[in-house]
Amino acid sequence: MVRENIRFSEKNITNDGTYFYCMLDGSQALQQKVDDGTVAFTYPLDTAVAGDIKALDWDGVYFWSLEDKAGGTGVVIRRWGIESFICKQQQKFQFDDGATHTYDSEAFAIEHYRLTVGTNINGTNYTVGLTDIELSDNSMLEPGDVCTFVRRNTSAAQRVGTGYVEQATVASTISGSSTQVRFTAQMQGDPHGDGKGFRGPEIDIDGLGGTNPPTPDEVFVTKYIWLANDHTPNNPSVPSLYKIRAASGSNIIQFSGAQYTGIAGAAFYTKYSMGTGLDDPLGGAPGSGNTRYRTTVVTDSSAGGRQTYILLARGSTLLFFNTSTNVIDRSMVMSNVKKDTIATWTIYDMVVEGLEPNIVLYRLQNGATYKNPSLVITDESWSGSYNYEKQFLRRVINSIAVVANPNIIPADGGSNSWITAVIRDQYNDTIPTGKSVNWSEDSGDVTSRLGSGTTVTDEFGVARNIYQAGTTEQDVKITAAVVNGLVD
Amino acid sequence: MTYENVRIQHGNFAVDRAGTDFFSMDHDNQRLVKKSAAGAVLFSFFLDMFILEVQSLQFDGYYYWTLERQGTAGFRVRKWEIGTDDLVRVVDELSFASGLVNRYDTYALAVEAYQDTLDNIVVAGQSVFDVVEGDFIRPGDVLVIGPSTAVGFEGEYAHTTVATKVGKTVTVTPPATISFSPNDIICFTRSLFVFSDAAPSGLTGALYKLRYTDGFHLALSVSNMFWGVRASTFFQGKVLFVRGGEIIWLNPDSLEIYRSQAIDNLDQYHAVHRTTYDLTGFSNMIYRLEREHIYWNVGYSRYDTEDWSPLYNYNTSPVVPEVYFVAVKAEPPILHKYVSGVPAVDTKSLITVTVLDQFHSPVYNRVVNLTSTGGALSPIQGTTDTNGQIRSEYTSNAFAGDVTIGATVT
Repeated sequence: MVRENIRFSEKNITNDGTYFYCMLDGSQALQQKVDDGTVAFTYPLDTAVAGDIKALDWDGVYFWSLEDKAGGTGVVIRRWGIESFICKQQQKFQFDDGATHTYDSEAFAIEHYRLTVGTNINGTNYTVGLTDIELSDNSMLEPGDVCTFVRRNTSAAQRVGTGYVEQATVASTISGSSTQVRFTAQMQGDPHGDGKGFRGPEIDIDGLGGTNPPTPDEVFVTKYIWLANDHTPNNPSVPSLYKIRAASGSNIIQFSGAQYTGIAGAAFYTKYSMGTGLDDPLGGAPGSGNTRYRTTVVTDSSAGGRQTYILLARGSTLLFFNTSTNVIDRSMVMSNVKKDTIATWTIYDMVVEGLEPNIVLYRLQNGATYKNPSLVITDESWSGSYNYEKQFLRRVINSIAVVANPNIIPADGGSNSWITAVIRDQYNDTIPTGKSVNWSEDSGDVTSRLGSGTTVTDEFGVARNIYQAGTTEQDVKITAAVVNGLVD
Repeated sequence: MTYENVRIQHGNFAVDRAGTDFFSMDHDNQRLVKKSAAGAVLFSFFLDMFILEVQSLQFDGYYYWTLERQGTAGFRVRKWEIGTDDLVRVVDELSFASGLVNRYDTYALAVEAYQDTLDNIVVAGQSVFDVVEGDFIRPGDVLVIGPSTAVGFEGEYAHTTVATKVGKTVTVTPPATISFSPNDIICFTRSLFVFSDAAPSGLTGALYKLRYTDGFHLALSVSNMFWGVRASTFFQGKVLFVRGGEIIWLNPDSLEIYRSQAIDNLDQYHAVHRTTYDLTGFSNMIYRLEREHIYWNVGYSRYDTEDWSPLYNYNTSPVVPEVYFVAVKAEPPILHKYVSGVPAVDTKSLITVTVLDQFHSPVYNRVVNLTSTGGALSPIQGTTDTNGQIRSEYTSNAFAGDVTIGATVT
């Protein structure tokens, strides 16, 4: 099969930034793979799961799984950590069908945040002995939240029960500061073995003038579980989205509506600030290592406030549920439509990976539609495995609609037709002013009958041109192409 | 078949002391069959007692140990000895029946067995002697010394019990009944390990540590980790068992994981782990008894399966750290093709190659060569750092489509 890649045998997937994972109920193991399907490792589960894992997520420290309760009268969400080569259950939440709630779910997302240690007091950049710690962002933190500090470059297999991590409970955020956090106890961890604790940004650690800065140590916090349920409390006929506290498993609120029907894949997406200069993974020499220091959550008042979203796959549409405003404030068309342009490949699970602006959505499917080397659109179905198809969340040109007005003109050599190309991205948004569009036509005349070979888009994302009739009656095809497919 | 080797009829086997021949219990013919690594039958040793199908065969250096499954009702462990008349006799038998507390559903057995060697000549009647290693022998261990290479005693064995051990000096009772030469082998067994798919309290998966003399429960560890274990052995001082795509190494005293070793037991689709039926080890090699071999079919550029059913053959897993796994990551994995007018940063991707051994440890100081089916890489070669990584920068060309970045480790 041409498009196969990860070759998972079961319908769940997550990613730790390097490896892909799938939880196998048949083998009772967490399987770790790279994207050509090669197994890197497997971690046996220390606790049996009851059946198919419907969804898998990773919050930077722990793995989370969703499964049907044995007997199908509810769902079970488990939190797992890899310790000493074993995937050990840390916590289990069981949601039973009852008088109020009925559970039938195929998808969930874990709302979690990746922060970094900031510049701490006395300019030391270290945390040992401190209760007040600078982080890259404190806007999501509340008293009682448990933050897990992780030494940079620590693998997912070493983030539980090792000296590379330390957990601290938030006492409060510091008034007037968007970055400082007070913890309930002094930090004690010594992950680097130098007695100084966790490290913030170090610009010139190797004495090379900051050309090879390491990533600061990371901090992870998990807030909520978002469960796409086919039922609403006291109204089983309407689906809903449950917001559940991750620490306790307690139901907080449900958002109901037909828009949550048939959600098979979900993921959490946070838009972090992009950073500049040393933040840029390609801005310096390969190996600059500072690629993870993009950890301040973006707030955009023109786009729904804080940019934190639950992504919900429905048909060929990806819905963006804003966790700040609790509304769906955008949607994106996905490339999971089959070649008949009607049917879609089912999405079983999703994972969001990468750094801004190049965030990629990986969709776990049992088939894909693609252009083969001869540019023929082809459906490929996978009967023995599930693989991912990937797609940018970054804005890219998705459609160019070319309209001729009038679209029939006499072959008099003088009549004109106004040609417009309406250009939109995958969010169905128009693109900014000034995008270059190249034009071509197939009249066969030696000199193009188009007014201009290149025009630019206006403030409505529309590029315009003019076509002058020739003297031969014929169908003429006019093509518009964008030079740079990236919108931003 | 291209990849067949030992051609065993049943799902149990054990390698001999020399690492050259393999034994398997054949319940159809009630015999212990000895085969070469190429599958030739070298000898058949007939049994003095009827056996059911043997799930696991273990060799402790002198005795053969079998596990016979009795459904979920229990299991039986037998200890066998090949007599000078080539008849295989049961020396000991332990039976375990499922009850309210312990429920057994077992397929895999490991016998904690050690070897040492004599440091000097030992003459008949001598009760104090030195051993070469001395790390594992404890008072109470029952030693089997032999086969003797001393003149006049060639091929004979002595059985005795350790009374005391100080350093590398061992005092045994009764004294040696025959003489030995330096480097003659000492074998001794300490515990049995049995994996069960059932467990007390309705939990799933258990590991029982049993005293080999009477089956007394020395320890019990309950975990789903021990569920579904079909193959185990004792090797290099550790209990080894296959779980999913790993051989897990356990400390026999603490029952904690010592390390975990990736094995190539996926099917041709890279999706499902194939079953390993028994394990045995020699020197720096672990032999896995399986019914299929997956190989790269060069002619078709794909993985294929060689199905050995109804026979079993071994696949191997070396324990010497080697390059096992090369991960290539592109960040970002989607980028724009090269076109004039597109910012350069949008045509570049950071390529990170990670080289790991089978124990998931980084492999340092290895040269990695990179190839691309699309744009250019810079550099195209690197040497792994202490994290087992090299990095390169990919720049796209005018091609639009899937690009494969390949990494080969020299």
